Amino acid sequence: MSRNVLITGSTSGIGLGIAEAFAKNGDNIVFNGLEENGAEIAKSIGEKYGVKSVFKNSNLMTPEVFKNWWILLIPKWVRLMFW
Amino acid sequence: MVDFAYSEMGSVDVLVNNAGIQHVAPIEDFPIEKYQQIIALNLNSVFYASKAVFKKMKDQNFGRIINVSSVHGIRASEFKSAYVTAKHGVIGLTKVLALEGAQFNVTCNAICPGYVKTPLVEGQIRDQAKAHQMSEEEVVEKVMLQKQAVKSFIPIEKLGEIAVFLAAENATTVSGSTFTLDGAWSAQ
Repeated sequence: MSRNVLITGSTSGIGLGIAEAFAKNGDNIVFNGLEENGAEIAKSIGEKYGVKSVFKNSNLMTPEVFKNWWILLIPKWVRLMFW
Repeated sequence: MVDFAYSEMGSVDVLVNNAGIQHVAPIEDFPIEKYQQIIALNLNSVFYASKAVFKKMKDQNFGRIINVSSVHGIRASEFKSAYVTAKHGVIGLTKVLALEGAQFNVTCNAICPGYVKTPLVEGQIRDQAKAHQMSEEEVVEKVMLQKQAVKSFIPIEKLGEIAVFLAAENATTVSGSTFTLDGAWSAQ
């Protein structure tokens, strides 16, 4: 059964190696990373191993990106008043 | 990020917390901003991402969280205060999540590699060369692999194989562990 695997920092280095190992195993991959060609990297791994793969370029340093990313659309001074 | 994964895939069965950055400098010269960035990405993002998937993993009675720590999660090197602090923290968090997921077939393990030749390590070779006033070749021989008994970089494929092993359906009892692939660095 193929599973869905989310890997942070997976468009280069160790993360990309781990992504490739899971794809080879038949698992679907959610790529994340800062490489500008992240979407292409995701696509090429997906095609190579015949699995579903998607890419999201997120900066992971703030908790909002994991849930309420829309909060970032609110101007910072407004956020500072409420959070 | 996690919402994106759920909307695109429908579930997150395996989370690999791997994203990381490095900065090498003596503590007195270590920029506070760099320290905060490294803690934010290498440690805090592991908490945020795990928190965002944990409830759903428990509800589906399956989850595998794999944290890419480092040999620097169990050993220290000079000039790496932020990185070593973050990577030690990741191992602590790994153990807590292993306990919290135990009743729900949610496991959490850490992988502790030594030096893997990645863009991050290539950058470090340049930084260390500057810090130690050596050539890059000397840094690889005398500084980087000096602590590894096995004098070669860790193959990325081996890390991938271990991650897939940890994510296996039947690996329920493998939890709360740290897997070292460090060329016997920490054996000393």
